[in-house]
Amino acid sequence: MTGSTPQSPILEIRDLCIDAVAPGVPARRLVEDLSLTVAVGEVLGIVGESGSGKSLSAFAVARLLPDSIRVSGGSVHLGGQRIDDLDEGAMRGLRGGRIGFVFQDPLSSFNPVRSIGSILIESIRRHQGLDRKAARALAVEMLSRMRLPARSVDAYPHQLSGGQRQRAMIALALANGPDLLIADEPTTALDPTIQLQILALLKQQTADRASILITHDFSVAAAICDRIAVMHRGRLVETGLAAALLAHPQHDYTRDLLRHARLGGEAS
Amino acid sequence: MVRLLTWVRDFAFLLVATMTVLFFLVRLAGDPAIMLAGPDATPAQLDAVRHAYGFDRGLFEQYLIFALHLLRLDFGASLVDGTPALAKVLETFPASLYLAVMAMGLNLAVSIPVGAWLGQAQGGAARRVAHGILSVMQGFPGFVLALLLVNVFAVGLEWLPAVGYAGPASWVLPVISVASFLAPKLIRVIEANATAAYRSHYVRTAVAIGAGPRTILWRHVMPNALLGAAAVVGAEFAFMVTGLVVIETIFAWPGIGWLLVRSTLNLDFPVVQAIVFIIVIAVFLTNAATEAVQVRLDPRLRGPGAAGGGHG
Repeated sequence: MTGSTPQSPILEIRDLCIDAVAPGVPARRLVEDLSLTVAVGEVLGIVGESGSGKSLSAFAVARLLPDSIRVSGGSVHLGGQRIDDLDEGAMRGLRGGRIGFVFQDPLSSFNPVRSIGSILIESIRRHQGLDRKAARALAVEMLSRMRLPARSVDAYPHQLSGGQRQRAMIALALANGPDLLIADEPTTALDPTIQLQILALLKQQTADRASILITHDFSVAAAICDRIAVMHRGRLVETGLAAALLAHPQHDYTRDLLRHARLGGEAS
Repeated sequence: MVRLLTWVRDFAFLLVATMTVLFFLVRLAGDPAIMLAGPDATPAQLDAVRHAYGFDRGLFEQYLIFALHLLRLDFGASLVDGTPALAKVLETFPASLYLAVMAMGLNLAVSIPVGAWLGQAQGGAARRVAHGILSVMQGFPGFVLALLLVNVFAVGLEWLPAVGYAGPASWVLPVISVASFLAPKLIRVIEANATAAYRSHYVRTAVAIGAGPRTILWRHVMPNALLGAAAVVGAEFAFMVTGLVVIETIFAWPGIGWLLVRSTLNLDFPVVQAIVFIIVIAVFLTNAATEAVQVRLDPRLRGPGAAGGGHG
């Protein structure tokens, strides 16, 4: 699919601004005039250091932000529909429905006292209105698609390994067939050998939808991304096709990041 | 099986240790013969009383006799009225248990919703007022509130009886007094746990699957908040079954706290020993029940289990 036919983007972010707000203090700009698009079947990597605003920008699409952080400008369109001005109820319909999330640490991201299946079933019933039995069957199917045994539907997070938990997290993100998949550092908390499995699994799920992979690690981005956007201090510094950007970085900051990534790679 | 055996062993050890310490402690408290024979008794009469009750034997011999009787659950007769001590205690224990159960019920009915409400977003005038009230209540001795309630509702308004143990109307003031003593602590624990849960990654996941505020509170936040509160609930209940001495005395509530005070003042050793025996059992059972509830609430305490299968 990679860039073959020009497609209209599923996700279109225009001039997005994000501020940190606190009572009695002037708002502090965290992300400035960010514009991005992601098309069907495309995987966009957003690469940057921690604090560059890459996770905030992606979470802002579904307004999945702490109370102290606000979107203060710009627009977000999903499938041609403007979504940044939706009310909270309508936005809840998108979260977990048309927009699926994979988080960095699957252990802390699953409720310790709820079974994996109960979270999946809750999400499936909320968005697809299935009865309990049908939702459970779909949950088992999603888990087995992520190569988890059917009985893991009744498992609690602590009973699974790190890799299994992240596969369950991907199953949760995809349970309702989202148009947009947002994965925030999905392999950072995992063992190196598991990282590749998870990336491969993610890549398999990107054909029918737009995907965003947030990472600080160019090698992760290089593994599965079609295009890469580099962010630094809340601004987009460079964006381009993955192969071209990695071979011929245009911006000094990108070159720095790449050099450090290569040094890190040699050191380890 | 092994679990049950260690449980029985711990229980037996606790009972033996408590009863032994207690035996020697109460005998330091004073000479019951003086109490029994009356202030005008002659030395000869005192000796006769001591001999009749076996107080003239060696302390260790008395202890052995006590221990042998204990094996048959025989605590002897009350020195005050001659009725069997254990029967006397078992007669009063239900009153204490009812008070404890009712007060805990009210405590939970108030603390869970209030703790949940306070644990949602911080700030706001109503929450500040609630925090102020909690601080005052925490610093307020339970018996002061009890006396205040008696003054207003029993003496002043004459709506409710001040003392006694006869029907629902007489339960209201004691139950409210005890519950209002327990609630501030439980509310604060639930609030703190809920606040921590709201900041957790798993609540972010709940938001990310489209859950609304009510679902997030009751299905994602509160199961975790109550888990941490279970230990407090258990400790509060254990505290209550040891006898609410002050409250039972104020309201003339015929429970073991009330009996303990009277028996101690009368140097009624057999009854004191039987009370402590029952309290030890009640506290032990409360702790066991608390543990069972925690295991029920927290899957992590149930061991790794087989649901997940191997690692990889």
